[in-house]
Amino acid sequence: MQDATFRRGCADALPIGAGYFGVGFAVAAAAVANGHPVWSPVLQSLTHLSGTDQGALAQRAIPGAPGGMWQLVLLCLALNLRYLLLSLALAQKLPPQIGIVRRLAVAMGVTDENVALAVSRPFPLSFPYLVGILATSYFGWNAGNAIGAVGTSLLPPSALAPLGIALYAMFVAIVVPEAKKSRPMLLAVLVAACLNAAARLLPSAMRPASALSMLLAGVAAAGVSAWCFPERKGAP
Amino acid sequence: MTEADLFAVVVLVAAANFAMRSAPLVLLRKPLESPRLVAFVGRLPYAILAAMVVPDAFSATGSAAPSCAGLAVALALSLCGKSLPLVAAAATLAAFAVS
Repeated sequence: MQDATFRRGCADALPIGAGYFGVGFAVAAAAVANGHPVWSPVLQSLTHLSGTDQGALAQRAIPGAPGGMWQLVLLCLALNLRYLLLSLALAQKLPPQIGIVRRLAVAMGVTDENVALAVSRPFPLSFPYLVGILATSYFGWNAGNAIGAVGTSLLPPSALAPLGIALYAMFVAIVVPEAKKSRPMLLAVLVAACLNAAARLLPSAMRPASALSMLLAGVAAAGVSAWCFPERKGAP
Repeated sequence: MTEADLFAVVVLVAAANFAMRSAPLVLLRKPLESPRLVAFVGRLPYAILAAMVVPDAFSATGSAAPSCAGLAVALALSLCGKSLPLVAAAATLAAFAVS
């Protein structure tokens, strides 16, 4: 049946790895094209594992450009505030016998996609399974960043374009079964999508940055859904 | 902004990210009590994912037709309960076919 093994974690996270490869390539290529040294996107991908903050930094933290470093640190912190909530969501599903050291290892893999995949599994989570998800997504992201940074000329962007849909297809595959199972979840998902789409229609001066808009839409939608339809105890 | 500043930004953000990722996992090992908070935390990742899909996915491949073809395939296969890797692969193939 369904064992939460390392191999299964790797297999389930393959679309994440493939999607991260494509996005990582694009983010790193953009950073270098904007004037970042090659080490910058490579070091970021190794230590951040965050498309949103790397995308923001690719456009801003350029050596020689005006602007201080602290506002950039704060911007990234705000963009990544959701890791607190994602980590909290994952903590709810983690068996208590997984100790602190292993939790610290798992923490490095806390991303939107990885946590959504992990918490949607119908079987109890295990440490090897989570390491499988982390290894696959981390490898895809870093390989994409390294190749994108070192050789933006290696692959023409047009060859990678259809790969862009893989990540979104995966989001759909994660969200749809949950929304099918539960009406409150369906409400949360639809409200979030509508809010984020509506935010895009605002005049550009009032429009929040896309990552912030996604975060606000998600928090508002989950908040409304949770307020109207609380969960039974112990069943997240 | 010097290259040393950039290095400092990269290191500081890395530290902040890891702190935010690890604190709840390490510190909050007991289940949440409040039914509303449990519902909120359980639904938040899916809500954010939905916001990530709409509307950006419609231009994910750089043009509308392959993106919509890929999304339609993904939605149809997901509704039929197909596995995650299959959905992603089929959607990518559909996008390739249309582009």
